[in-house]
Amino acid sequence: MSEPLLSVRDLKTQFFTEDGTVRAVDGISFDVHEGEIVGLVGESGAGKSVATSSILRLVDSPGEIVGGEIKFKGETIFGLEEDGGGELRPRDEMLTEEEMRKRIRGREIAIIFQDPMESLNPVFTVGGQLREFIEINRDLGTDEAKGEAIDILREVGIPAPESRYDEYPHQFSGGMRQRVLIAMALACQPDLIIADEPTTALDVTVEGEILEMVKDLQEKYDTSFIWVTHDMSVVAEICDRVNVMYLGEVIEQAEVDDLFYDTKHPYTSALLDSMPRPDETVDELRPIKGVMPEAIDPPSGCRFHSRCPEAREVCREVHPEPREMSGDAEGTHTAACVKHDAFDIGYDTSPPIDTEATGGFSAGFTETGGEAE
Amino acid sequence: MTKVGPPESDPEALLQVRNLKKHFDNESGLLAGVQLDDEFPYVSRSTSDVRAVDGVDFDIKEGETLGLVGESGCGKSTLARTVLRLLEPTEGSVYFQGKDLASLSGEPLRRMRKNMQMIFQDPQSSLDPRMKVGPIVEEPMKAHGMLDEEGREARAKELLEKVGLDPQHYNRYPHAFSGGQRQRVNLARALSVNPDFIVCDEPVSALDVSIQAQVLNTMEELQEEFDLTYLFIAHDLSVIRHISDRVAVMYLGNIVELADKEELFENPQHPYTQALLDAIPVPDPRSGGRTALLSGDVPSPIDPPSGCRFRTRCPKVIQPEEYDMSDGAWRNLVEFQRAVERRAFEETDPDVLRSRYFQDAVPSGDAGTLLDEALGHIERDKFEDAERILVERFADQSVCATARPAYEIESEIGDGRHYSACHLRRDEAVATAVDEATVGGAARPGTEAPEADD
Repeated sequence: MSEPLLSVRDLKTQFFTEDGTVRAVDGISFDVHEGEIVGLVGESGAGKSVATSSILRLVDSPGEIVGGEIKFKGETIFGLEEDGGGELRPRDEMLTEEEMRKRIRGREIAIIFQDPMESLNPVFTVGGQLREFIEINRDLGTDEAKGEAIDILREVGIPAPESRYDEYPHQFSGGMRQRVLIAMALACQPDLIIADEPTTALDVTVEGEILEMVKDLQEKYDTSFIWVTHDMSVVAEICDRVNVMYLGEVIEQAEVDDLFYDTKHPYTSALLDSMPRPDETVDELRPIKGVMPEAIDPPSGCRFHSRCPEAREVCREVHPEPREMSGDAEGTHTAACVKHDAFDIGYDTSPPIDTEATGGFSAGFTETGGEAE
Repeated sequence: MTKVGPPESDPEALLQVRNLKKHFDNESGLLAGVQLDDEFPYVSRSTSDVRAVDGVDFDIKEGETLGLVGESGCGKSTLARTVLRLLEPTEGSVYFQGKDLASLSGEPLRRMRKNMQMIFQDPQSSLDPRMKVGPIVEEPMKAHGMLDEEGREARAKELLEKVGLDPQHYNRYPHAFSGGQRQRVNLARALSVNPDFIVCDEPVSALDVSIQAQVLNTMEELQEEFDLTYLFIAHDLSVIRHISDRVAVMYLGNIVELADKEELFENPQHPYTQALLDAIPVPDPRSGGRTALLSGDVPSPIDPPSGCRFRTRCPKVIQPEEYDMSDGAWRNLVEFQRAVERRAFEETDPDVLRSRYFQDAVPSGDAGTLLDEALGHIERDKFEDAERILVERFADQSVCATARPAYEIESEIGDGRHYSACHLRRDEAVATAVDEATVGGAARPGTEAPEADD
């Protein structure tokens, strides 16, 4: 396989709060290759959004990237090294804040957020905002930038772009606003676009249109995407490769077809099972028991063991790192579950344990109570 | 205006909604609707209402779940609130257990409310953050004078357990619960006064999928145990398919199709329902993705399209009778007309446009002449004139624009009734309530209304 466009290795982002350290992202690794749509999927609180902000180095205090390495087209977005005294300090080749701001963000890596209303300034016209963005990032004159803005609005399917250019964000529907943001992300023809749940707030019909459009544009410009979502149907539709996150970790990584048809991790299967199907009537849904524990005090061993229907004693003790499942050396399907032979630490002989998932109906309180989202 | 809607009436039904309308003032205040003109009398006044719910009929039988589905902005939530009379209906009636809620007021209405409860979408904002969970659940009982203090506490604890929470959490504040658990508190609160009917307004759409399934399962268990009737609103068709017995599909203030769940999902008869079903993503990478997507935005409810409200986006608009185009030519023409309306192209050369939009089939005869005229206008960069020709002579002449559809057809699956508001079903209909008189001023924004149809 060729050199990846973006490579994330063992990334750790933590938030230092009064109650303790929240390990929002705890050692995740993945690659994005050219022209690929990589999914990042998980429930709320899994650390998806923190992971994407870390890639752009947008994590603010009290949050901090504390470890790992992020490389983009051979350049180091983030990397640490030890100085003489054993302290960690940023490496010399790491891009400066100014380089990130002027060269990377927007130009090379663009981001589309979930809520289009919050990403557009309500007191400026849509066209004006788009034009300004193009002017600054592509060094074009005002008139040229305006022409470019109108062209790109038409390309993303805004009707009558000349007249809508002068309208304000509130005059656009939700779907239209999201199209404007996609236009903005595409305006500088970046190599990578991070889409953070861009269609979650939209109706299925609009979502369908937007996904369709993204697919077309992706083919046309050969842009890579990181597609953050909690919706497995969107993953099935648009992604080439998928990373499933649970509580700050990537627990399974596979080609999209393998993920759905050769699922390796119990969490992924549970997530797939809990969804109501639109194409058939299911008598009873099989939900995942309990709620996701807090990242401030994650369960020992495998983090999913407290909700896992297949949990055994060994799951509480051993923390599994993702390992290759497919058997070939390419590394196309990894999962972090000790029940597979790749681990060989005595799962089969270990006694099953009582968890919320194995012990009858429960609303799912953790011992500490007072859990947030 | 005469009544149009599903010609069904079941005296046994728990809830009967008849021609319900809710319009909102678009502007308010002293100068509302005042416009200044250049000519005498210089000042004119016009009011434009937002027709959020515009003539809806349906029944809900005891113990069933009616699913109500539609895109955002179609009036689902307004309908739900109007049914419960949280909003004053503009017109129409709602019979609950035989009594017309729309005519009740004051104390009798308050008493009736005991039997009707509501669960809201946002579990965060529908619970008072400064009240403990126990008192929150007791509040409705207090309001309706049920039980004494001890009895209420006992019942609150019992209900918390019923909805899958720990009764020990009686003294906790809402912030200590996760989203799914808060929605369970909402359920307990709604159940506290022993209602017959619960309106659920997108109760699970704010929750994660895994939690969604937990709450849906609990709601089904409770329905069985307490013999509840649900009006279940959602935009997610998968959820609707899971929980409903019958499903109503809403578009722009109207119900366009209503049938038993299996019938609706397996044998949809309205192009909008078909489009919605096609648009649902299937969690399966081998499914081949979604097919035929709708184009365009939902029109404004201030000035909805005449006749069938879906006609401006419908892929199956019926050809006006006066023309005799091939089906392909008519589809091309419709597509071209919508592209002109959306100003989707800059091209003005008629030959290029012809090859782009009319490659496989070109309208001939009268229609061809009109198309030439429109293309001529475009060549002179007069998009408005071209649009007017295309809209007035084609789109507004279709039966879809001149009559509001309402048909009942035979169900293919099961023996329930199947209502479909689409003129394509006019030949197979067993009952109709089409009202052609309603459509005179087929007003469209920016263009003059055509003459009333013959």
